[in-house]
Amino acid sequence: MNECATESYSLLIVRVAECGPATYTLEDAATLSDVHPELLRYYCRLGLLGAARAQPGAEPVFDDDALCELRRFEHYRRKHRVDRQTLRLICSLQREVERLRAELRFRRGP
Amino acid sequence: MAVKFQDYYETLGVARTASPDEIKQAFRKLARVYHPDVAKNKVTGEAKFKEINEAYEVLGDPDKRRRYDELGADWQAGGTGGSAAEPGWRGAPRHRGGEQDFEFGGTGFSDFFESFFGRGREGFGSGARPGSGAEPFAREGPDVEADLLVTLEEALRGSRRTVTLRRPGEDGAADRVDTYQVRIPPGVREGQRIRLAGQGGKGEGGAAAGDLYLRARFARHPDFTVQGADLHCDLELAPWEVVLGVRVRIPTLDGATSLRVPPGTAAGSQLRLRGLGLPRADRARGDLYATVRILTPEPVPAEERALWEQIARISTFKPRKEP
Repeated sequence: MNECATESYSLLIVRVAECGPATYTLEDAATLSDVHPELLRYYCRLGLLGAARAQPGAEPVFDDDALCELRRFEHYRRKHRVDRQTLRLICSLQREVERLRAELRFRRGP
Repeated sequence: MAVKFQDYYETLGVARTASPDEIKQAFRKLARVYHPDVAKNKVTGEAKFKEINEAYEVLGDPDKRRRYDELGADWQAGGTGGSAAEPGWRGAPRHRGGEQDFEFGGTGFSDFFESFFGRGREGFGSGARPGSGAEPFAREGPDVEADLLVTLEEALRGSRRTVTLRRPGEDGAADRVDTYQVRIPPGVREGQRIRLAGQGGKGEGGAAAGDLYLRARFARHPDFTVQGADLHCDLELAPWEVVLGVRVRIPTLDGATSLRVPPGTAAGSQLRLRGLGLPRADRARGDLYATVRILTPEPVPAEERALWEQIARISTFKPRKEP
């Protein structure tokens, strides 16, 4: 007799009414990525977080991209013991790769 | 859970030996039929458009196509036939969140594509979040990323999408399928991430779950390419149209519009339609650039040829310096 494999599912609807892009203050971003606010300011001064937008004289505002990058940096720093200069190098290389990918995609046309 | 093999050549209706130009032509032809804005049946049209887009995403990129063709060779070596591909790709990595596998639905990309050509498989997390009441050995769950196919029309007007995420159940329990309503804002950028807090990989020792990031990837459009917030398209004209000038209708994301081509327009010239691109961060819109391409008739009927010969005889125009 053949065994018939059946797959069962339970369906959970997660009610996320406005699951869209968000922005975060420096304190919120620091809390969500488990870094000290001063370290986050230092990252901003190094230019590591390209998506952080700062008005002159005001604290930077972070979007989902910046938060994701920040959490990734912390992952590299803590798990792989990557120092800050190497983080800077990784960051600039990632941006260059993204820019070149976009350029290549554009050059190839529709 | 086996990944279903996608035959991208069949999807685009081209031979495996098709040239890049043939693949591009096939994509543009099908995309014009099944584009969500013009398809007669919106539901099936949208599904088909996503399939076509995914196929072109792979076959239109020489590197991805080479990797895909190598997979195909393994599949044939496996000798399973049909659509159930074998050794080269079965059991390939999914979206990994630590030791957990994730299967996405509604992102616009198949599981097959995500397994082999997706860029967001890596799971990462920053560690235990403070204040989560976690044990000392606790580790926060990894963050998970997935690509979300976004059409240019969605990038212009915004939309809402339903995305599902299937996670394997623990200790023999049934798989869990979570459903999310995701708001794509007007002006979303290529590569922009949307965070779903706490919806990533599960934490250990009572620590919080990681986050789920959906990353916008623009669908290929049959007419437009994207450069920042600007759109570019080709404007194909006859030689006499560029010499004499002409008024033509061209497609835009806001519907067809009229464009005046001035007399004496050179090949390669870019004609700008202000404000018909994608929204920028400051909410103004980018521009649409139409690049002039001159097409020549082939073959040339005898009567027309006689007229061209007459022009060649009487014209004093010298397009180049003779050495």
